[in-house]
Amino acid sequence: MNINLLKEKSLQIRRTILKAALSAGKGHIPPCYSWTDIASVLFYGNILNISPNKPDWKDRDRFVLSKGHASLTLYSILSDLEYFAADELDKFATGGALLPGHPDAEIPGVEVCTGSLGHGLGVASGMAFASKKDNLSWSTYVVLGDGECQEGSVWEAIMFAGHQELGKLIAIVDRNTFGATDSTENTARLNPLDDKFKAFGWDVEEVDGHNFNSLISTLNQAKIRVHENKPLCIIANTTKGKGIDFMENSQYWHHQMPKGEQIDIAWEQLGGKWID
Amino acid sequence: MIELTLDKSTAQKFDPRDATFDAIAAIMKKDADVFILTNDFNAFGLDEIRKFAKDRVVNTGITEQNMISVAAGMALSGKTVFVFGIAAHLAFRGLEQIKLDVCVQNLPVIFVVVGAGLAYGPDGPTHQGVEDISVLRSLPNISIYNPADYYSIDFAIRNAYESQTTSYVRLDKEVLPQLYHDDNDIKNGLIIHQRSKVNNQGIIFATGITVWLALKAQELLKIKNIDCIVVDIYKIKPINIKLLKEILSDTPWALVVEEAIDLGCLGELIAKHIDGGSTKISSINLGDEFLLGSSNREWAWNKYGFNPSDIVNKVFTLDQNAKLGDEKKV
Repeated sequence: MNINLLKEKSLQIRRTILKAALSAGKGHIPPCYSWTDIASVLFYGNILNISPNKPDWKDRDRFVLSKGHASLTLYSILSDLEYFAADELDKFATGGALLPGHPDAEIPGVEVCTGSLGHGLGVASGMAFASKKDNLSWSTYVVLGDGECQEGSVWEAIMFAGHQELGKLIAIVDRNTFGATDSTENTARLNPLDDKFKAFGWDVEEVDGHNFNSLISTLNQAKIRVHENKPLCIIANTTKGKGIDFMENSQYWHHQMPKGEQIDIAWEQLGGKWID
Repeated sequence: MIELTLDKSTAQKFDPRDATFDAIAAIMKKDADVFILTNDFNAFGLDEIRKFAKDRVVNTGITEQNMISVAAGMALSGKTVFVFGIAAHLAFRGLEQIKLDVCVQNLPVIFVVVGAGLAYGPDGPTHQGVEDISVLRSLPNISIYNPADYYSIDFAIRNAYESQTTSYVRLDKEVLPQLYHDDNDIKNGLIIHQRSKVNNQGIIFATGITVWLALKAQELLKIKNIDCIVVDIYKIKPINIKLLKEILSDTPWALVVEEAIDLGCLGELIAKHIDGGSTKISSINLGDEFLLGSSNREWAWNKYGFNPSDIVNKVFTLDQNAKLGDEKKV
């Protein structure tokens, strides 16, 4: 998919997320939007080696969304790729629905249950470790929130992956600089995040998480890593709420729903309209 | 500490860890997809396995949470993973990882934990394994084994591996004699030690090390003409409800002896399955408090009444109450 189509796909995914969240009256729209462009390049940019009609294909690349609260981005893409029926999104977070607020492994295309922060990198490290032990070809990708990187378990996993030289583990940190209610730098400072990963034995790349050229280039470089003996951390500098200006870089909107006129403005900025 | 040999004084004694790693070694020699992870905890048997499978024994460092997450990731990638550490640390530091990363998908991760009950009693509440059953029982999918001898440890490891589901095997530190000799003795999860065929026998339920205390008490009670059954609750979860109800169906009294806190203990579990109100039930356990200071078994068993003589006294009271209840009915 070329860059213009990827950009259009990102916009489409943002619209799908907004529609599902508004239908349910629930969801974390800004945390979804900060990694939507990353997700588009991963899933539509020929980065992840997956097969939607065979979700359990044994040689697939593994993808773990560790920041599980940003599930609607993943759900929207999995739905678009026909891992499950499109109308499942209309039932998001309703009683008995396939798709809860945070992903679980009963959902086709979802590898693990995430939502409690600080689990995904450890599980992904276990996958990468198993793959390395058997000298298999597949890679493991995991998307973490930056606020999540305040969890101690994340640093245990970073140590493990560095020590075990898991060269085919790619961790992408969605560095939107916000936790749920405040900047990470005001609560438990993460910077210099790149130096911290490096000190734990990782390679680190930094990228603008909304610049498609940079994302495509960086993720394609990550994809061809075969012989490296260090795991790779891609720090993707992003904007929480990217795409709807009144949500951007705001500590208010973490899981708030737009109302009234805000909805019209949001749709206008995403180039679509709300059809109830 | 009481002599744990009973009338089996000639029986060979085994370290529970040796029993465990003998069983795991046999499995690993046949299955190259079996791994062991440990949080910098060791055992003689583990070193023996390293001699033939060094790459499959991984010391993850003192990182319980990550170790369990890694085990889950490996299990999702086709491996069976034994996770070895101290009960109190794995069950509590890693509880959310056990729940969400492992149990939710019922992955073939087998926790093998040392320090059941007061095995680490003198080390304080940081190391005592007296709440883990109460907590882990609440998690769907997990199987919990609490074996009392070499053979039942061996069976637990084999059973857990063959099931390819999440399991938790508790080990004591005491060197114990062999009590069982055949899968058929223990495959039902509840092991009945029956002295005679008389009807309406009372039951002492026990698990892990307390099985030995209960068997000693059973001998003392026999001398005093009280016949009772001892039931070793070897597999705590899922408990064999059908057999349990059968055992309980005509018993006048049941006593549950368990080195664990009161809340969520096996006494509650047994009471739940008693139909009607005729069976008198009582428990010997560690109550609802932390054991601070150096709580070795000798001290704790005296304080809480775990000694066989204490069990006998408790049974006398239960037996009397049950008989009084019968007289009232008449």
